[in-house]
Amino acid sequence: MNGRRFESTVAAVGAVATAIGFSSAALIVWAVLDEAGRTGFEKALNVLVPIGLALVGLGGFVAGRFFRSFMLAARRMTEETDLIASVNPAHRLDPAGPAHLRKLGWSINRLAGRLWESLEEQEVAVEAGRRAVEHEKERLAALMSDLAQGVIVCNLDGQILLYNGEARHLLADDDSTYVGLGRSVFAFLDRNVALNALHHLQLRAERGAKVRPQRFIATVPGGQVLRMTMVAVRSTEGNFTGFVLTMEDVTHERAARGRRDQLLRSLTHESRRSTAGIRAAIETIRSYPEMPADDIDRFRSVIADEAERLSARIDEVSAAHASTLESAWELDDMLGDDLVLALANRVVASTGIEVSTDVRTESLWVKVDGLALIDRLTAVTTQMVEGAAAAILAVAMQESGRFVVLDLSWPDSAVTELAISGCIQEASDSHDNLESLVDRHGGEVWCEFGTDEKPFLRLLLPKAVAVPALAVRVLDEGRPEFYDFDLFEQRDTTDRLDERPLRDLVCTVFDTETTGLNPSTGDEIISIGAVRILNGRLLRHEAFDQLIDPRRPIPAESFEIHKISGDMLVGQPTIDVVLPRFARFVEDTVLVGHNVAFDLKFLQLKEGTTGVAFTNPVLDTLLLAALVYPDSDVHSLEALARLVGVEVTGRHTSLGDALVTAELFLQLIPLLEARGLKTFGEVQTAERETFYARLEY
Amino acid sequence: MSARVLIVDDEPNIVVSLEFLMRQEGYEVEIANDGEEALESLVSFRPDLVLLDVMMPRLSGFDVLQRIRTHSELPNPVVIMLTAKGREAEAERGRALGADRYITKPFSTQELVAVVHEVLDTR
Repeated sequence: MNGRRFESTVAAVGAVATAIGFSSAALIVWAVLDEAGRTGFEKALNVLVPIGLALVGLGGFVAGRFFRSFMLAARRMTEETDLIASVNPAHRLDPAGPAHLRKLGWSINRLAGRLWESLEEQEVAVEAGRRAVEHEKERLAALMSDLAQGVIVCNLDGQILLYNGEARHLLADDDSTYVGLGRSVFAFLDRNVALNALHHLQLRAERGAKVRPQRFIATVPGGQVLRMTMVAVRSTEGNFTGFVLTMEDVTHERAARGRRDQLLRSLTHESRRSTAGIRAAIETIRSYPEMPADDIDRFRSVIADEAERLSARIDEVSAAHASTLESAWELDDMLGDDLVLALANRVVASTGIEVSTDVRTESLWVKVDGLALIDRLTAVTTQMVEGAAAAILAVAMQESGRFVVLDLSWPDSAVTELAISGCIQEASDSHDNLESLVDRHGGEVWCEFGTDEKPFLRLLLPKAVAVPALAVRVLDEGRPEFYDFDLFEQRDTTDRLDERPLRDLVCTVFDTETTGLNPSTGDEIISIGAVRILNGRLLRHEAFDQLIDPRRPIPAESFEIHKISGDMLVGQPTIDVVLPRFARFVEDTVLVGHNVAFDLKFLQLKEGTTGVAFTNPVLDTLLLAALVYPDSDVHSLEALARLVGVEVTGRHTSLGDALVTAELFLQLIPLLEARGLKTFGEVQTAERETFYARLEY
Repeated sequence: MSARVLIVDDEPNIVVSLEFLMRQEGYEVEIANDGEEALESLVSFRPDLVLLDVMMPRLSGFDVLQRIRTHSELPNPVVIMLTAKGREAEAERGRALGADRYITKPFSTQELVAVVHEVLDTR
């Protein structure tokens, strides 16, 4: 029953009650009077009946007014008290209506004050625990974001539960795909390839074998070739619940290997051809000593020609592919200072002798197999300590053209040239000798002599061309909300959207800014902002934020609202580029917006030109709020947000409004649940009813 | 008096050409088939120029060069290094040890002759 009908009912009841009272009084008087009195009373009634009727009307009116102010104020107080009890304990009533009701209002406010205090006390206790958990999370987050490798954790359905910035960078380098919590990893990774690796992991586990990581190579949509390592995630009972993928970009490595193979093939082929020509010519000349001079000349020019061609080809190949040939080994870029420091530490640790260093290269990078090199040089020093009683190692580094010169000398010992040469040539059990190790680096090693004619070991190592881009790439993202391990447990959730609880929905909350209010007469979208909600959590870092060139001027009145000028839109993509991207961003999610019909209208009008149809299920926070506050006349996003205790910042950018809408939506969920609206289906049905009710209104 | 050239290489096939070319240019030529022989010839033949191959058994071209540059009792001729490896680090090592020129095999015979003339003239 709505307020108006209730009010008229109360008025009618008031009027009837007054009428009954008046009639009863008249009947009683009539009964106790004698004949004369009754005649007088009849006369009096002629006057009293109109007065009585007036009194009946007045009685009805007064009752109606009283109930109106009392009942409506009581109902409003109930709603506000619910609000305090559920999502916004900071809210206070503004008592109105009759004095008793106002007193009740003050009492509720006092109670709310007590509730607030006790909540605060609780919060202090919870805060301490929360901070400890948060600290752990931060450590994990920092660890993940610092990793040079991309990491992704998925459940068995391929839903992403965790990812780091590098994984996002590697998997979604262009704008065609999105990495996000709850999204499917199979958008980037061939399902069969991944499942095959997973199958192998499972097989091994079932046989009781030690589960080793599975490695495979995969090409992702951006075209990069990634080397993936898959490890199984198992529950405490030993069941497979998901997998961890680590990945690194081997595109360049693969390309280099490809170039090497091709180089080898072409070189072999061309050498054979030229050598065949030379050999046939010279063998022919020698077999026919009587050959006429003209013929000999022809053969000679064949030999000269082929020899020259072969020389030229070798020069060309070694010049163009020097880096290809030398990158055959996995060498890392290392800071020269670090190499010397690591060597010194290692020598001190394993021999105990004194090490002095003299590094004249500042922030100079070398390309080395650092571990192997330090290994071999430490072994050399050990030999000098044992064979020549060396007690000091002097390490010096300086720059020389495209190389770095690394010198090792043992100034206090009688180290001989023979001993040093021996160390260079000598092979150990497991490694190749120093000479071939340095050779692998594209460097040189030999025994050099100082000004005092003392022999020492000199290495020439190639400088690294540049610091690898990966190592210095600054992550501009803050700490992302990049994991949601609840997804591990989500295998049994229903596929039927209608039956899914509101808090289990994957939603995209969005907002647009436009040039005006009438899409049908040429107004256009100039910005779309969106954020995702997963398992009742707002994923601020998985946002969509895009300005759009509307190909028309911005009217002054719309500029006043969004402050986006035409200049800001120069060079931005047009709607036909942005909408397909946005469609991928919102794929498989429920669209949520405030007064979303307005934004949808713009999107729908573009269906024809962009070919992108938004068929996602939709929820509107304006209608949801109406379900929670049926009598409220508050409709604006900002006022509603404040009502449920959402801090409003950054309004009137699409992303800012989308964020506020998302928080409003999250606050509305428990309020809807309190009214028995728990699943998507229930909410949508109720939403539709209130929508039509409003239309009728 | 014509200049003296010592050719040090363990590959007879290339030595045939080198010897022929140097004699054609009017130089006095002696051959050493490895590093050890080269050190002997340095003392006995006292060349003005050495064409020195890098890769040789027993004593490498780098070893010979290092002896020439560090042992003051040995004569100190112009040295042109010849190599089949042709890596930049190797050339750098040759320069570090005191080679005057560094030529990668295969080379143009005309160019080699030009380089020999040049280094002997600027001596």
